[in-house]
Amino acid sequence: MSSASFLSRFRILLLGLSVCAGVIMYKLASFQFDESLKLIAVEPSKVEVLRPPRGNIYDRHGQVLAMNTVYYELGIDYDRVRYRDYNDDDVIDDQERQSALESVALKLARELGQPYEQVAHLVTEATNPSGEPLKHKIIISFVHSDMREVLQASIDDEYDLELRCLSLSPVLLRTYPNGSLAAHVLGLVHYNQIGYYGVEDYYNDILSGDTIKAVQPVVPFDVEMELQADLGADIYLTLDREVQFATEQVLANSLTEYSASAGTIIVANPNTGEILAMASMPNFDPNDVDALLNKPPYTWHNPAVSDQFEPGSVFKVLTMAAALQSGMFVPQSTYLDTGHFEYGGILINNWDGRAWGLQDMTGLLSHSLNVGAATLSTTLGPQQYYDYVSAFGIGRLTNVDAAGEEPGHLKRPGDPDWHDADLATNSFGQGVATTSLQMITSISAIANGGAIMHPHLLLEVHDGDAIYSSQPQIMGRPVSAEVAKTLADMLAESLAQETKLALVDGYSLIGKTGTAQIPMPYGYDPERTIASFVGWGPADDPQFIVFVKLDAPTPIWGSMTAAPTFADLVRRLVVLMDIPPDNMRRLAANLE
Amino acid sequence: MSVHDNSSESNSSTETFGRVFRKAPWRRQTQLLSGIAVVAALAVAIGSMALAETSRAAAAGRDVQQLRYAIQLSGFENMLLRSKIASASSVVELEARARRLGLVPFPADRIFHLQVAGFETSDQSSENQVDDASPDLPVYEQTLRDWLIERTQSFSEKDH
Repeated sequence: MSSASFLSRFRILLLGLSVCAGVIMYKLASFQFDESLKLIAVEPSKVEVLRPPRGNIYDRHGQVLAMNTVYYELGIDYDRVRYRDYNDDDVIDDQERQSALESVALKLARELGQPYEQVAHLVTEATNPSGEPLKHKIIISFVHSDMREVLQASIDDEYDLELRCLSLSPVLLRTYPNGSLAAHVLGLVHYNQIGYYGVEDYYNDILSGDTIKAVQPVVPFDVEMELQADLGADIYLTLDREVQFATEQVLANSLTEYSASAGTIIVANPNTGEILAMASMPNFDPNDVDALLNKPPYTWHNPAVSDQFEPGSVFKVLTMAAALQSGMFVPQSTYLDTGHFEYGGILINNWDGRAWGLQDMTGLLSHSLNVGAATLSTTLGPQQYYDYVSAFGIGRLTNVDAAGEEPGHLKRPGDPDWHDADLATNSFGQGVATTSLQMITSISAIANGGAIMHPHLLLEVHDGDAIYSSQPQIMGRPVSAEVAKTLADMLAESLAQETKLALVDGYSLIGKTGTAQIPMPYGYDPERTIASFVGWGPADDPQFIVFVKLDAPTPIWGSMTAAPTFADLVRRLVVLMDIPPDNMRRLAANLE
Repeated sequence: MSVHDNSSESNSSTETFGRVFRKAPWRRQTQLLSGIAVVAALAVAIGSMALAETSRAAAAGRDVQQLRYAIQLSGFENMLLRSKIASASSVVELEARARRLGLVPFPADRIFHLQVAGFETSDQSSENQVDDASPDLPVYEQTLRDWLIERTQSFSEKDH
């Protein structure tokens, strides 16, 4: 081979090598100008808080009560502010920067449909309260998805790069599609995704899942296995959305009709302790957290489990149950009602001040006689009477799965605030504090053959593929099945005499009215009362038990306000719960 | 017999190559350059392979990141649609629509109940479906080992 030929081939080889080296150099250089890799130099990895979406809340039929929705956070990166057609790396002076920010504000105000001054103030104010310059600032916290699409299109506009300094980040927000429906039961979730009050609070751990912190590399080489935060589980409640809605409507109508200041209605299944509806008014819309923050905190708590009150005459059901269970009284037992009863240094009068003469136990209930109730409790004696009342769960938490439950207050002999007179007054629901849930739970024993079922709101937890179901639990058996049946029959008979306003054609119902005075610092309110009614049906096969409480209604009597409210609700319940009239059920039973 | 001296021949060729090389110093440069070129070629080859692989890994990593982001966006989109459905089917919205259509809650006293023999409510029929769905499996009360022992014993009893 000649040297000339060798040299020419050698040059070709060197040229080839040079081309290869050039390609490699180009490739290396291209990384330096890659926009997406610029962050790497600044921040090779970042700590991310992975917060899983909160679990949804459904009613017993799978209707959504609480869920998550997506909003977007509009932010501005002040390092990426671009002046006219300058490149990103070009240094701009303060005047150019201000001009660029004003231009951004103008375009943004146009897109948002908001006044320029308002938007300009948000955009151009690029320092924190201590005067330090900001790198990033959130301009709008919650941008709706429709607006987000419009804004994103403007940000991505390839012919106008000025809005490239803006960014939209998704944020999850709790939403309640039914508005204020069952608001007190559900509670609310703040922007920090933590549940407050109600089920949101009580089951916060289950709903929120596990938040994890992880160092996530920005460098694509270092992309690792995806870190999965433990998702929040979905919760199915015992509530029936339709029953809840009907209950709230009936309650709202009653508050208007009787000019009551507030009210609570609970509907439950006495056989299982499942709460089908729990409504309280005034209520609130948990979607509007900002508005709620301006209201006093007691607005959000659940009055059905948190508000304590003197129950009044509905408490006579428990007194009568204790009397019958003790064996010292039977339905036919009589006493002479003189209209007054002196015990422990106080004089007890009937609600109307009248003397009702010789009365049996059914007569005591149907006329709701305080003298008769005091006769029973004082005959039983403090030890026996309070043991029975405690067995019904009065003065103790029901441990319902709702946040903020109060135990009520039952004074017993030996307590510093107990007096002899309490034995007499407690018998008709005075001097004792209970919650609405306590009353319906304790009296449900009479509807359920003597057994109190543990009241609960949780039906199921759906955690991925796993489903956990709650089972009915007996909380106690304060009276025998015989006593429960006897008392139920007495109440059915007495209800027909006490108030016909609680009755519904075609359905046998059982119940008791109550009208309680409202305790004040010095005695009782002379004008206002708490009207209540507890009732259940159908009498032979109880499917529901309802407790109605109206605060300061007009007229003041439970028989004229709470009782008709109960009847209104029952008329809707039998439709919603598919309960045929008694004659049809008996006919069906005979055919079977 | 002639004796051939190989060593002297080899020495002479080495001397010839050395002499030639010394006479043409450019060959030494060429050889040096060739060596450098070979090393450079190898470096370029290895570098290109490394670069190609790392860029491919980086591209794959970026694809993964983008796909994860797309999954996240799809999840958000899904969530958004679900919340829209929930709002549209909320009890408040349904009631408002029903009222707009002139509907009112059905009163209990206008319901006419009819007893139909043999008719099952949806709850009852679903309970029956569950019952029907359970297969009629035979009851086994023995393990395979127990069964084998029993059979062996029965055979041995027959033999006797």
